[in-house]
Amino acid sequence: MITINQVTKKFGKDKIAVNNTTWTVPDGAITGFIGPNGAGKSTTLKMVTGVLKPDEGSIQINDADITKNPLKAKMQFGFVSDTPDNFLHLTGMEYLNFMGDAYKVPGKVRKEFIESYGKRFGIEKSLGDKILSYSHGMRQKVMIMGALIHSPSVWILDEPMTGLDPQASHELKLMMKEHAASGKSVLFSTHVLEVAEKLCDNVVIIRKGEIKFLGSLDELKAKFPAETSLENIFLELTGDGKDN
Amino acid sequence: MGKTIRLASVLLKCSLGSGKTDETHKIDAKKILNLLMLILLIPVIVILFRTGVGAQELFSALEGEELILRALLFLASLIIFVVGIFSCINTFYLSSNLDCLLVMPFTSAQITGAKFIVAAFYEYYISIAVIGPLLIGFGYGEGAGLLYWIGTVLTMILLPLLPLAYSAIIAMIIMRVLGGAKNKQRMTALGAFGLIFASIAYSVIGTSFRNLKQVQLEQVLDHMIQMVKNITWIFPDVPFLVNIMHGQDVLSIVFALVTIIAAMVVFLGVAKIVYLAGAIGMQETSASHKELSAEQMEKYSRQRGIVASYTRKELKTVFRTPTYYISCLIITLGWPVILLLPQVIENAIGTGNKMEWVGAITNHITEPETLFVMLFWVILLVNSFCTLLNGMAPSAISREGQSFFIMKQLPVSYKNQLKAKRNAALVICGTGGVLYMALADVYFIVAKDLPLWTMPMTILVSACIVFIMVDLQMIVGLIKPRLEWDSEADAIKMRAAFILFIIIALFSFMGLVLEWNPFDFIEISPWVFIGGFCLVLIVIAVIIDRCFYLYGVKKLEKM
Repeated sequence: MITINQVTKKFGKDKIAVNNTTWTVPDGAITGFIGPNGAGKSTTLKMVTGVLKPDEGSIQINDADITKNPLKAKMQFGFVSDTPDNFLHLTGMEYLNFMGDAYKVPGKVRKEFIESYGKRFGIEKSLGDKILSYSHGMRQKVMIMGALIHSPSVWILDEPMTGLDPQASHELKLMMKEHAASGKSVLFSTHVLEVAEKLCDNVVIIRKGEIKFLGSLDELKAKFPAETSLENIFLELTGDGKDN
Repeated sequence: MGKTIRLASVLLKCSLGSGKTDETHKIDAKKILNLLMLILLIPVIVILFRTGVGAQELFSALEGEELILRALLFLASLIIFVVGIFSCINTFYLSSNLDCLLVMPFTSAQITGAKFIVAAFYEYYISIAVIGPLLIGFGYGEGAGLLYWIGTVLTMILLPLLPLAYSAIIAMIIMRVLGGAKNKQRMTALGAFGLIFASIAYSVIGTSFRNLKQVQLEQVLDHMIQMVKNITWIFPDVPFLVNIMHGQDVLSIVFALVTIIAAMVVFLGVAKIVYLAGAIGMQETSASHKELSAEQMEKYSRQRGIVASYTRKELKTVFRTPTYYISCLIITLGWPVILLLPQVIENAIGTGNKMEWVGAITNHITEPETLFVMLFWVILLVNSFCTLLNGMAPSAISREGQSFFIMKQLPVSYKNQLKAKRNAALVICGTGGVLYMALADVYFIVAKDLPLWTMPMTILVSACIVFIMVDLQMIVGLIKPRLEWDSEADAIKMRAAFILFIIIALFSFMGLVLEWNPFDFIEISPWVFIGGFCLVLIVIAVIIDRCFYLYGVKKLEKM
């Protein structure tokens, strides 16, 4: 579970990136985080994952405060960034092993995980090659594996479907559903409204650093009975989308 | 032409960038660093200036002013040429913007032209910091007229262009010929061999010049006149530039400009033919697509402590990235090979002096005090060379680039992350300094009857010096890390360290030559002094280590 409590983040004196937002990512559900470019999604995710410190408010991952107890909080989640171009000079296996050491995953457990997920994503034959030689989609797959190697209870994914082939995309969606069904939480940001519509139990819509909607998809549709699609509702809530 | 200049300005902006990562920064650390660098540079500039004045006095008495100017400009061109080959390979082929540029509507001449300007920009450091003070000193000594000073300015602007054009052409031909090896990894090996080859060539030439010290200065001068006449045609702009400064020949300005323009035309012509063929597919990397065996899986998935694992990750990244490899490994680990190979070659062909210099040095040392003094300066020189000219520590944070956010997301304390990065630098610098010195000790103790006590002293003092310098370099790297870069070369900026090394090297050489002895000033036994000195070094190392962690953790938290 992620609890975001009255969080504000400013850049410079005037630019308020996130303005006093309070919301939760509940256990047992997939929460979609949606908003136009520059709405404050990345800033929020950076604060949740400990890259940025909030100016005001607090963020809890399960029972650990990301600012006060960062190491404990970081052990609770796995984060998949939207840029998979990291650790390019390591082989896939070396990267996964490094992540295993960082999250203190026992050797036997990580070996089983790598074998199982390598096959699931169809990259078992590439793990001995350098990440530099991977396609964008393969890089994304190995980054997802690295983020999940310690079986975190909270998954945070920033545009995770970008670059994935339909098979891997389907596999990831299935994994997210399984994870949520086991009573754990998934937070993911996306621009693809169809994915959000099919996958999410809850959606959080952000615009200009403020939460415009928070609730289930049924609640969202009930709030806008005249609109026929999620796209129209999204446009209604976020204006023309030119927030940056 | 307009497009080329516009592209060059964009590439320069990208590679020089502000590197600003911390919006709340009150003091501009970059300005402080630049100021510090300038302060460090002053003694070097003064020494070069005085060398220029001295050379003018010496050679004017022998009527060899023109000759020494020619030799100086030739040597500078040669250095720019050698350094330029690596710089051009890096800028032209290994830069991460290459794939973006290749799909844009630029001709190969425009891309190479712009990249040439970027490469030339860095060569101007040599022009301004080394050639400038020497020529100004020379002109001052001579009481030179207006045309000399115009010639000096023109030389500083034009001199790097011709050798760099040669470097660029050679770099492009190498990359074209190596069409089958289109990936950065294979370039690593090539770069290593190239640098070692160049160093050997330099060292062999150096040995030949040392042999000339046996004859009279006039004879040396005659020899040099012949040699300079024979080889300056390689850089045809040099005689014209010298004619402007020494011969007061205005027409030579035109000839110098025409020569440079002709070289640029040839360069662009070659670029038009060979550049694209070498550049396309440069970013590709080979992959074997072989499934790991059960044994490999078992081996690779073994659990390790995070500091050890992180250190391995750092070392692997450096070993596998050509730019880091060249900046962080080759010189630091390869210097004994570079120094000893010419000697070995000479011995092998029977013309060498069979390491007589070793005997000469050890025969000269009769007292432990003298030996200690000599050893101290050598230890300081070797270890400062291995640490200050190594990019591992100062680039530790900058190397992360835009992946820096991962450092913040990992459940690993900042202290442990800094420790791992520092340890990786210690492994490289320690091997280059401490280990090689210890091996040299063993040789001297066994073969040349050097006292046994030199071994622990060398190791302890070397280790302390390396430790202190690596920690200091880590702190420097933390002050203003550069996380947004276009190519990996931008992550490694070591200007301040380079200048600090030159200063330490100058002092060490002077110490060695003059045998500066601390016991002349402090009347204590060398053994007490050695013990006290080691103790002081250890205390300094501990204090600096604490400061490094305190500052480093706070800085990473802020970033």
